[in-house]
Amino acid sequence: MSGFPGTLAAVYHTLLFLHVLLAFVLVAAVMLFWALILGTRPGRPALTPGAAMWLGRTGAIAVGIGSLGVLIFGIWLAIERPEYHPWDGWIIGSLVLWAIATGTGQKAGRVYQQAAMNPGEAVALRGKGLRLQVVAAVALILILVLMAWKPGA
Amino acid sequence: MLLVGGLFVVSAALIYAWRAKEDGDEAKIRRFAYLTLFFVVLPAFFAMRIGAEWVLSASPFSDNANWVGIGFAISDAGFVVLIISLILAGFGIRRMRTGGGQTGARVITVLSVALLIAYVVAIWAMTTKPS
Repeated sequence: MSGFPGTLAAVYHTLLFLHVLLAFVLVAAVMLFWALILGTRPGRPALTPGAAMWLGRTGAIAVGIGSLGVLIFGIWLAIERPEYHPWDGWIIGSLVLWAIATGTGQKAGRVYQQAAMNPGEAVALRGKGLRLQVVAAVALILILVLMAWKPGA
Repeated sequence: MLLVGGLFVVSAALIYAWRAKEDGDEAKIRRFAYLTLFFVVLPAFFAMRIGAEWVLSASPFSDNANWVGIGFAISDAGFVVLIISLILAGFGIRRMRTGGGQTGARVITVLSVALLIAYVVAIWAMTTKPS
């Protein structure tokens, strides 16, 4: 690899690596939240409150880095590659789904924190949190489907 | 992604258990990590490996490409490390009843973090396809 085309290919590969790596970080964080949901079930907790708090903070850091990074490098890739444009249908669809996933995911996190602080309302709050977490996970899976098949590209 | 995500959960839980000050906390979290290793990471490994073979057979890329070789080498070595971790986890769950198993848990922590780093290298190879 040498010269200008070689440099362009190196930039593309670096951007693609960072984009995909951060997508893995995002999915790993979402899996950690699912593990927390299962591990903190009332009556059958597999995790201590201290562990749940620490793992929750770790997941929040990972989800922040993953969701922002995947967006930044994704848009950068769409600008970098001549065959893709940020206004392509599958990219706009992914951006909408990203907004849904991050919005519902954040809200789910807040609802689970409230459930931990209000044991009396924990069952109802956990139910609401679970629904929000399912929406976030489905949105994330749909983004992966759009990224893999790129409909219309 | 499920494989890396599962390993992330195992690593994070075991790192917390390593730092935990109370024995009861540590044992509970170690058990949680070991069950995740068996019920999430092991099936995810097979899904990843079968999926990888399927994608490669349907793709225009050669089996002899360097980056494919890197992927297979990491996958094969990763499976051996995963089996060693599962055996240690099995012994760890037995020893937990008598208050032991900390050393095994620390070995599994190191192995799971090493596996995560190896899979980052595999992601690099799959995305950049070095010749």
